Amino acid sequence: MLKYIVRRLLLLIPILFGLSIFIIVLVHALPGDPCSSILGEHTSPDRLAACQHGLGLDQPLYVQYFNYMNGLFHGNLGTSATNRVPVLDEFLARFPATVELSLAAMAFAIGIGVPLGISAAKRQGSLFDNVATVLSLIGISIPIFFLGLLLAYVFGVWLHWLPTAGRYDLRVYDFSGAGTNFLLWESLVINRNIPEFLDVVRHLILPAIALGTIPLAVVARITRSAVLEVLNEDYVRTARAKGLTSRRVDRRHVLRNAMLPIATIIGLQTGLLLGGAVLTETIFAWGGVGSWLFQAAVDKDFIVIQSGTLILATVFVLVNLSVDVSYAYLNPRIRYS
Amino acid sequence: MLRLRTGALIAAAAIAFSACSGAATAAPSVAAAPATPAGSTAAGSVAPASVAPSGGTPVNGGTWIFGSASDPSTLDAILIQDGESFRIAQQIYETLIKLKPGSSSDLLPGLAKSWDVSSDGLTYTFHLQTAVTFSDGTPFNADAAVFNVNRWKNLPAALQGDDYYDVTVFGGYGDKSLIKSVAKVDDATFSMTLNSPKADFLTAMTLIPFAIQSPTALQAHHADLGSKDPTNDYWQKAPTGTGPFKFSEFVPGDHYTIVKNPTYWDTANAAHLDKIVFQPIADSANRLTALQSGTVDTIDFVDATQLAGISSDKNLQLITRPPLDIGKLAFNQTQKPWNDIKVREAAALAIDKTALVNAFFQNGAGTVADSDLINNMPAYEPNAGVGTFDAAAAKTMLASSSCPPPCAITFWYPDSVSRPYMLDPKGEYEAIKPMLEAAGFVVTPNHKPWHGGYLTDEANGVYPLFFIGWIYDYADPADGPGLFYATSTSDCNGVKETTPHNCEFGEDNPAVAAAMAKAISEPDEATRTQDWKDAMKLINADVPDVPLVWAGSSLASTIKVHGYIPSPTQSEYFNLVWKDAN
Amino acid sequence: MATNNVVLRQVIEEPLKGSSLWRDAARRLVHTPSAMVGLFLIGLFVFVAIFAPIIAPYDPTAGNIINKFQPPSVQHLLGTDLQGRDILSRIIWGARASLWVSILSVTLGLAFGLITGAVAGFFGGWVDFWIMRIVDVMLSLPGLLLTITIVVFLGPGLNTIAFAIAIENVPIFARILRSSILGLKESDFTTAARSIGAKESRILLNHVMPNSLTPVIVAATLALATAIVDAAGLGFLGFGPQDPSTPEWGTMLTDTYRYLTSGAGFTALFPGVAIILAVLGFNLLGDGLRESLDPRLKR
Repeated sequence: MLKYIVRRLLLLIPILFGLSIFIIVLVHALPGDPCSSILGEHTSPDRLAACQHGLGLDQPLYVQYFNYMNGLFHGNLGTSATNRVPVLDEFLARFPATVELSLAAMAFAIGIGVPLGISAAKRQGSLFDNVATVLSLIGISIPIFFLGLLLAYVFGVWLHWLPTAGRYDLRVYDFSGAGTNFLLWESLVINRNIPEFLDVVRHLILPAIALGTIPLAVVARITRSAVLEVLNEDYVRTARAKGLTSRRVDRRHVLRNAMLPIATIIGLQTGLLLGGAVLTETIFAWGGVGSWLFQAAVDKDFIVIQSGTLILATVFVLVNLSVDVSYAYLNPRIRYS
Repeated sequence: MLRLRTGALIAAAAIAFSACSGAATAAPSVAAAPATPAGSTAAGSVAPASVAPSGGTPVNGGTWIFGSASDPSTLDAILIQDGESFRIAQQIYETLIKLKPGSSSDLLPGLAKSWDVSSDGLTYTFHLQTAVTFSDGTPFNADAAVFNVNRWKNLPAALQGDDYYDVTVFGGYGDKSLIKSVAKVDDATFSMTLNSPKADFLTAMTLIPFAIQSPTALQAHHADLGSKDPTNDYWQKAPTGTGPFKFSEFVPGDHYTIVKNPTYWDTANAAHLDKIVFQPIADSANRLTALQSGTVDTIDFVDATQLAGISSDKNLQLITRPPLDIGKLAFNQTQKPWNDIKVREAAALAIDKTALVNAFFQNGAGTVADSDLINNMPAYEPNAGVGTFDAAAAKTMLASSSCPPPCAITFWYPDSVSRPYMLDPKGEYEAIKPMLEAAGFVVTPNHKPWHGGYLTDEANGVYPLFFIGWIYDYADPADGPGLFYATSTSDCNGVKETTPHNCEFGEDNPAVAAAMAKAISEPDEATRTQDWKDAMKLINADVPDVPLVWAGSSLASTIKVHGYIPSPTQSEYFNLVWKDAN
Repeated sequence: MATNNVVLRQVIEEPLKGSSLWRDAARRLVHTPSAMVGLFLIGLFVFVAIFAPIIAPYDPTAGNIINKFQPPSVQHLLGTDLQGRDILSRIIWGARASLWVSILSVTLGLAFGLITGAVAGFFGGWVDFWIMRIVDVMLSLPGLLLTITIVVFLGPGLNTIAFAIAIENVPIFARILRSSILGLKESDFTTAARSIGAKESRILLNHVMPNSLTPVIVAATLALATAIVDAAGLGFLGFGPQDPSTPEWGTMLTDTYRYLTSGAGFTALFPGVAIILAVLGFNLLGDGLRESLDPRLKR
């Protein structure tokens, strides 16, 4: 097992290496550069050239690549050209927000999706099954920004039930000086402040629903088909025939065996969400990595795009690796070597 | 996404005076004449105006949540260029001279109680406020001021190119800087000597990039090592000034917090609020939602489509800045068919500006423009352009031109941008297209992202017909046409030119260049205004663009917020703001 | 676009094996009501797209800003938009753009994906290894970044958008096909073909390909749906057709969604509903296909 993990980690190196070349070529092939966003309208060509020189953009691409990689090997991920914040600092400040939002969205998706999928599978072909299927299909058919805007309007503006921007009530609470930017953790475990924790949760609800709707539909579907498949297996029929109670069969055989595809899809979805949810973050002013990278792409902030993409790709691969490793525990038939 | 005030200040003036520019228009003889002292001595130690806030007696205390459009880009004052950074810097730093709240030209004493100008217009002596400390406890005195001025003059190499206003106002670094020398006279007095007179020097000193920062904090946090050095955390962790507020916390993408400075020197103008939190919300519709749901107290850059809804909401108030922005459709006169003035005139006559402004700048977000100048500027003269909308005349004009109908043209507009003067570029293009087609043009659209090549191409003169606009830094033509129609010696559109030329608009008229140079270097205000009127006549005769709209921007706020004085230049002082107790 | 990956990638992970006869599948499909609703919606969508010039009451690009935001009336059944154009006509013509983007993107994505996936899956060994490493690189890239980068690089336009979406789907299609082939390659079925002396190319064409197609068909149907949503998302972020007068649902929705809260909500509502219905049609059909092609999902 350890060998397998080490091998997968080693494989990460060529992937990141390939990715770094791919990204730098792609990004530099684009028209425009950070200078146009730094300098704004009515820039003279002289100033443009001076700015490009200052950022080293007038050097040949391979020199820029070499300098960049040299920095990476020395642990320097570079500094944003537009806001001059070191990439690593900004990533560390924003990633906890993305993690909390992703986990909340997945909690929503799993909490509703798995029971829904199981119920639908057990009543296959029933009205409930069909309604659940159609609803989940509608869920994945709504453009996410449309859904987000509707949620914000209905629950924020009309009903005044829930906040529509930010991570906590900035008037009341103060997280400055907190050790991490994981606010759920900070409020509940470090500060032990229940109202503060609930405030953080309230701020999470709308973005989590907007972001979690598609994963919810997907998880429900996968759960349904995985459960259906297991229900058709011989050993389940045997168990039933032996006269085991339905609940016992469900727990001991059906769920256990259906777990594998469900865990796979959950891992994959989480990995994708951790890559940042541009649209959701934009709508709910959520300071995560998605809106950061999107803004960097719009501003042509090369260094942020390059380093940000590499970090996220690493996260994605690591999440997938941990999912693969968890299979071994879920399903003893799988052995990695 | 909304990067306001990327505008250059007085860049043309800097070019005209600075020794570094090789432009033929540089240093006209007028500039050598002794300048009349511009603000010889400000009356005594008048404290910054304390404007009577609206809505009764100010209440002290409270936290104000401000929904901005994005994070600040930097708070090392001399590097600041964008509106979000200006907004915060304005509260934690102070300049030697301030603008009167709400004004774009009236000077007030700041960290300098008064100042004298030598008779040759070269040496400025500043008499400083005493008993002022920075928020880190170190004293503000002549040494601190001299340290800062020297930093402007000899900007550290690692920062060069990151600044904007330093090089545009002073023309360059070190020996190329307009600042010749700076010297301490005594603890509360210092003097600055320029290489050549500069009529708008004192006004430039009100710009927040020329704020005085704590030398101790700058050095302790390695601000001079540049943004690439990981030990430089000055603006993220310890931006230090003398203002009514001081830095508290910055979480990128989430919020930026400043708190009341308990040791602020000017006790009469101490802040009412305990804390201000700036929360970035990029999309204007979402900013409004956040305001309506009570998540934030005040938002900036309200979308024109939302204005009517806000005015009718009894819990909200609209705070409108006087217009200081111009949006226009511009030509490049070096490209066909726009090299023919008749074609330019035909296009100008074909556009129904009233319909356009009514559709896109409703509820007072903008008014129909007929000049690059704003109608509240002294040099503005009405009806200076080609004439008003006349579809028949446009058709006739085009038929008699070198490009008779069907006249094929390419129309460029930017994506991924909304500016106060150009709220919906795509929509405006779609509205103008049928107007041009009615006159006999055949329009092919083209577009690029604002920061994804549009601005660069546009500056290089690639586009024949395009949308562009300008947000004035202050109400002076030098900050508008003086920049647009300035010439440069670098490549345009990849073509190496031998004489100075104008890339962007192809406006290469020696008479215009001479008239503008004269106006920019003229120290006497009345004469300067007349000079600009003359220059504008020459410019308008060339029809370099179709001015479409004069626009301002608006804030919206709950009615609990008082004392906000909007400024056309966004020099807004939050120590005057207060909130109802509940 | 997150939606695309999330919905499509499930097909990679979900065990889906087609082993039934096509005729059985068709019979099951016809008896699935939701799939029939989907087929109806798609039929309507395609019909409207093809006969747009005949059905549309007005020229979708003709308008005057003076007539902006007229509420629904007898003259304009769905009202007019910001430019004073007839919204119904624009929705009808917009079906063309959406259909074009979705079909083109899926065709391109399938073509590239099939080639790479089939080569990797069938030849295996180091070919497979390196192709899959490239696929890994592409899959680990935040999808949005790649799509936007391509659109910016190639310039705006419906074809560019379709191409960018296609590229994003390639690694997914490649993986789906590769795993199907790997599963089948060692199955009894191929062994039998080999034992009777069939050539490798024949095995690929006659046996492996058709059986690998089941998950691909399902994925392609879902990809048609996500392409429409993706185009809308790209439009939301400012990347629409080359000529903005060209009616396209995503751009229509994007241009007007901000009026949802300020009085002219109907202008955003109608294109939004059109998108949801068309996408729902493809999703319903895709779901029905999945169930009817894999009989184990039925009891």
